[in-house]
Amino acid sequence: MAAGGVNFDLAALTEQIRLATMDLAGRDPDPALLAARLSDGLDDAKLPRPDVAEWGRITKGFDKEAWNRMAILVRVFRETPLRDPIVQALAGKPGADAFAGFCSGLSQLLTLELLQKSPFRVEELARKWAHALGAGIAGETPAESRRKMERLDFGGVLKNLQAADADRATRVKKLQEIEAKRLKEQQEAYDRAGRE
Amino acid sequence: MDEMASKKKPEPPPAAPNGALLTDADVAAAWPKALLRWGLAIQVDTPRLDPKSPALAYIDLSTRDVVVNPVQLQQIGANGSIEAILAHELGHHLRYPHSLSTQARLELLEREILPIKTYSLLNLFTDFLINCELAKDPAMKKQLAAVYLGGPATAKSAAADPAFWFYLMCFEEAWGLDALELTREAGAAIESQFKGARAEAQLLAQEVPNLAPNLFTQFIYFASVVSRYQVFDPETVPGAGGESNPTKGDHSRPSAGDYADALGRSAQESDAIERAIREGWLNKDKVPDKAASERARAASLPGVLAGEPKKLAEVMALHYRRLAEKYLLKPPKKHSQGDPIIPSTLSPWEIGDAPKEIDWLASIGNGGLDMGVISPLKRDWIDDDPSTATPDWRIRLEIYLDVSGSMPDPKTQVNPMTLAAQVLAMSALRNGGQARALIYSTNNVKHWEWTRSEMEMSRFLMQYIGGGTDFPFAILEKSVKECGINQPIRIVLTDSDFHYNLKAVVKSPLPAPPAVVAAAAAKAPFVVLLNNATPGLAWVKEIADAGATTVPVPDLASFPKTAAAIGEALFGNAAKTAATGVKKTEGKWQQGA
Repeated sequence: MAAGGVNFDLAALTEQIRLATMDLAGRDPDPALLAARLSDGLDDAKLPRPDVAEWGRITKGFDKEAWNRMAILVRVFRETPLRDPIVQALAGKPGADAFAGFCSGLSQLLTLELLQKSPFRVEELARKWAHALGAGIAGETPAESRRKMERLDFGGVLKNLQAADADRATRVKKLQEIEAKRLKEQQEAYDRAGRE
Repeated sequence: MDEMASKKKPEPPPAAPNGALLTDADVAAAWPKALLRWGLAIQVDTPRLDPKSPALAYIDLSTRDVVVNPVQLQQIGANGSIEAILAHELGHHLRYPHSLSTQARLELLEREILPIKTYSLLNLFTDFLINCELAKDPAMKKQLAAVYLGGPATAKSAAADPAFWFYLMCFEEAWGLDALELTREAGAAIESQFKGARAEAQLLAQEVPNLAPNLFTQFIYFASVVSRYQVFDPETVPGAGGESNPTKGDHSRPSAGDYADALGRSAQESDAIERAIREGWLNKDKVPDKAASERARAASLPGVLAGEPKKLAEVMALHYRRLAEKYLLKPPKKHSQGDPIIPSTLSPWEIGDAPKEIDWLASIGNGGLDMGVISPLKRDWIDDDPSTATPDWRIRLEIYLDVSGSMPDPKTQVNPMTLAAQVLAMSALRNGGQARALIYSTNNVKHWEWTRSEMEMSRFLMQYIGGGTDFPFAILEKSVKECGINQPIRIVLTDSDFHYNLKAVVKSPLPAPPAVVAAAAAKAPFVVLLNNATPGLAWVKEIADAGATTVPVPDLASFPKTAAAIGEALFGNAAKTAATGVKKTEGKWQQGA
């Protein structure tokens, strides 16, 4: 059980994130609208809204993908049954960090395209956001959740893939050497047999 | 991922205790459920149990018959997985590869792109796609996992077949299982030996479904990742070389026709290869372009069909016929004719011909009671008013094809000289003629019965000897004598070795080769196509001096085109509409009155 007592149903959270990514297809995010919607949502929940200066500072370096992630999170917060556990998890935490800070930090590799095509990345976003909110995953110990989150971490996957690519290049080179040796032995056998 | 939800659902009871063998009743109970897994109501016979079947389970993709080996199933402790196994076999029929023609294409594509030819990734690929679809249902996921958990999973297992254990890691990722839950010690060994294996498995599980619907794109991507895990020096690894997949070899192989169709790349395959090169999954320098692809695929057939020489010959025979089609001119429409009521020549009756065409009297008269019934003859009929549309002469072609060691085996690569022979035969046959052929090297093999069958001719021409070159002048002499007034056109396809044979000193009573050639040429066209020859060469002139009509061909690649031109000149419509056919004038064969 997470600190603060909030545990997300992972299946429900991933499904809402997935639906939100589909909803965004073909549309550009509107930063001003997103800021307004988030603020309204926090107001409705009687949670402190980020001040303008702070908001401007956190979102200054936002690219389109970061705003896409923001759009997804705001939609899940404002338009789904998960509003209540999110509000509960947000209690006592700065809303700006849980949304804007998260979109430019932990989740920065998760583009809309990746989220739309990969259930792995949707689950990664779900787990990382739950972690950023200080919540847990229902049915898992914190250690299990952390292990699964690390396993899904796309940054880690990419880093390991680089190691895999390097190893592949080495194996290809070795394979080419073996093939060249086999061809040479075959040619020598032909020559010994007196064929051209 | 819904693994949390799946853990809460009740486990289905096993079909039979793992100590007992599965029964027909168990299979009958599981079968309708397996069919419904694919959401389709199809009529397929209930599978049967066969304790001697080599595969754990097997589906014949032509007949859709499914066989399960209950002994193997019991040995891996997976009786409770019978529904999943049956659903898996259905998946080969309903989804991947779905058709044997697709399977043939995948096999030949694999040969083109993968450097290691001794270990196919195809079964793992189609199994991966099928099992990922089935495993969307938690009960199926559990049953499939039980199949893979039935065998040993040691570091030695991993060393013998790392590709299989990496493939299981992909299931761990795709199904949301704990790492090493399926792969156990073997998976740990893979992660240790292959850096980044877990990440690759996750990426493969993520990407393969997204690359649909082009199955070839999916396969190339799959192969580009999994090929890293193939053992490429199995002779150095104990136990390596075999496949550890419990569901290996679980469906039938394509037919000769499927392979012949697959020799040319389809548009989907070409798109898949282009995309793979753009994405960096394939190195452009290592993949043949479309023009070279057909040659490469034909060359790979002996490996694909290792242990199936008859099928290999059949595939190549089909392939040659299709290649020859490209060289043949299309005959113009027939002129109007009278009714075919005049009995004419006899020819062999083949399966597919109308039974009423059999002339039983002639069949038994020619072949006796036994052979006449087994190999009946049919009567050809000609128009009651032949007019100028029907030729006054019958085309008969006798081919002599050099298959000595200087020529490539037509079954392992397209031999242009064999293709030329095919073109000539089809040219004669399609213009209403008959043909027979002889292949020669140090010895010779004959198809000496006159035939109208392109299939018979193409099958015969796939044979190969590959020794020295010894033209059978004795057979030519006998043919000239036996054919009497019905001399065929004789065409030899060879090279300068013919000149060597022509000049050889022979012992009496064998006839001198130049005299045999002269006698043959005096009665009917005796045409010799000569490889690597030009008209001015002395040895070409000497062959012509013996009476042969020489056709120098600059190189082997030019043979089919040359043969097409000769075929059209000799058997085509120009020849047919000539008043009286060919005759010799001033030492040269000419058309016309």
